[in-house]
Amino acid sequence: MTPQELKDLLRGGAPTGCFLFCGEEGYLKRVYLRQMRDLILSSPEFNTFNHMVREGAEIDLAAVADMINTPAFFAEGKLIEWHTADLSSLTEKKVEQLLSVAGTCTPESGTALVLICTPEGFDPGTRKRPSALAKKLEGAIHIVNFEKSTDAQLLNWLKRHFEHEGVKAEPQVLRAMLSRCGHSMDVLATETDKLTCYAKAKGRDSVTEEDVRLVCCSTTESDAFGLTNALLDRDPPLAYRCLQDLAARRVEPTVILGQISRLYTDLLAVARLMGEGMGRDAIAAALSMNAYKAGLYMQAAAKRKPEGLARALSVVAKADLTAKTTYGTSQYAMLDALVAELSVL
Amino acid sequence: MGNRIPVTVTVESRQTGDDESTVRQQNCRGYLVSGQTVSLTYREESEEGEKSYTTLTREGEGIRLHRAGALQLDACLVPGQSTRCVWGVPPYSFDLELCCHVAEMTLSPMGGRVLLDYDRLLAGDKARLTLDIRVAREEVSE
Repeated sequence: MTPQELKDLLRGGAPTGCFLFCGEEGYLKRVYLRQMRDLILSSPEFNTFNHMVREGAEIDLAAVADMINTPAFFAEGKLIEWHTADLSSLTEKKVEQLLSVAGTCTPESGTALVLICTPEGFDPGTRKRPSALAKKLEGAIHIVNFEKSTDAQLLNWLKRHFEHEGVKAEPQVLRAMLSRCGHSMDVLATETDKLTCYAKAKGRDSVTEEDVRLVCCSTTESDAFGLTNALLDRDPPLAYRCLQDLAARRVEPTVILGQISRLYTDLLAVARLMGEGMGRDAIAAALSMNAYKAGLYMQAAAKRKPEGLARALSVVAKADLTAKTTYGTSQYAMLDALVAELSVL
Repeated sequence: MGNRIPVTVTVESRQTGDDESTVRQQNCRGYLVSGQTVSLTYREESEEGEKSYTTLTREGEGIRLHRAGALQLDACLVPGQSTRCVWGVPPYSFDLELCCHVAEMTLSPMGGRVLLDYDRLLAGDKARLTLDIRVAREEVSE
């Protein structure tokens, strides 16, 4: 089931059955869960009895079965939520138990059971090729995969948010927001609030790119490989932003230097093996490297001369020596200078 | 880690911007930690009851200002230097630029004073802030 299909289902009124929310977009999981609460929990005075919330990696299926069997108290239906579930290592027996429990969430029971998984807690696979577990569950459970939204979806969503607040935002303003704030819907929602308040406080009914620059926090969406990927792609501005992000998170400069050093050592080794006529799989085997990574490094090495890589490695070695033998220098400043030097090699 | 020494802290903060000046004084409790250097931690509470904890530690030529709780900030203020940081008012956060004029810390296990004077640039608006923090060791009664 897609989020849109869930939306359509909720238009029909209070849902019953077993739902499994998975995927990375936690913001959307919360939005749809709130809609389900609004639909199902229509008598606030009895919510204590009809709204059951539990959490934990392992679902206590016996307890859930008990909750389902308990009739709703002076209400049409009840909602059971199980948060932070991890179904990634369910045994065959547990899968059978889960299916059996899910099967009891019938319209007659008036129960909606929502299992909210962590992003790593359930792999739904893709729509065309669902995972083995998703195939087993899909008959009895509505699996809703909340994937990360695309840029186009986010731009539309931002536009609707501003319109709802009575503030105009041109497409270039929305794109500037994505570029500055990143793609997290949680972050974008708070930044939209800030921009709306700022514009209204200034007596305006529209936000500008300048407002975005002044009010929104810049976010660098760097992962563990952000800096090395930026260096691989020869993208110094992104490399600086990643470095700034690592410094802000107080990642040890020696760890960062280690990453850079490993990158250029591997690149030089790949370049030399390519020079000997070796292919991707042979290089991957020779360097005990993942074949995908070897492919990426081959592409990057092909764009560089081996002597340039050797020079880059000697620059890294020099920086490493300086970091380990000089007292009182700012190691982050030294890394800044190193990135500057590497970007011209 | 050194010992925690209970102290009473008087925080006088002056904010000046656009011809307006506001002064706020608050007495709060905190503690000093004395080790290789002395750091001060104190708890402030706003009129709305929101609590935040501030820790001040000497770092090289400057002072690291770390705030947690209802207000969140982590910046090293070095006289004559500007620094960028994030000011958090959960769930919101703001980019902040601080330009430090004065960062003095004369703390001993017996108490002392911290003086911070800096410009704060937030969403294009500039304000000057002066924090005068006086620390006295709590009397220990028998």
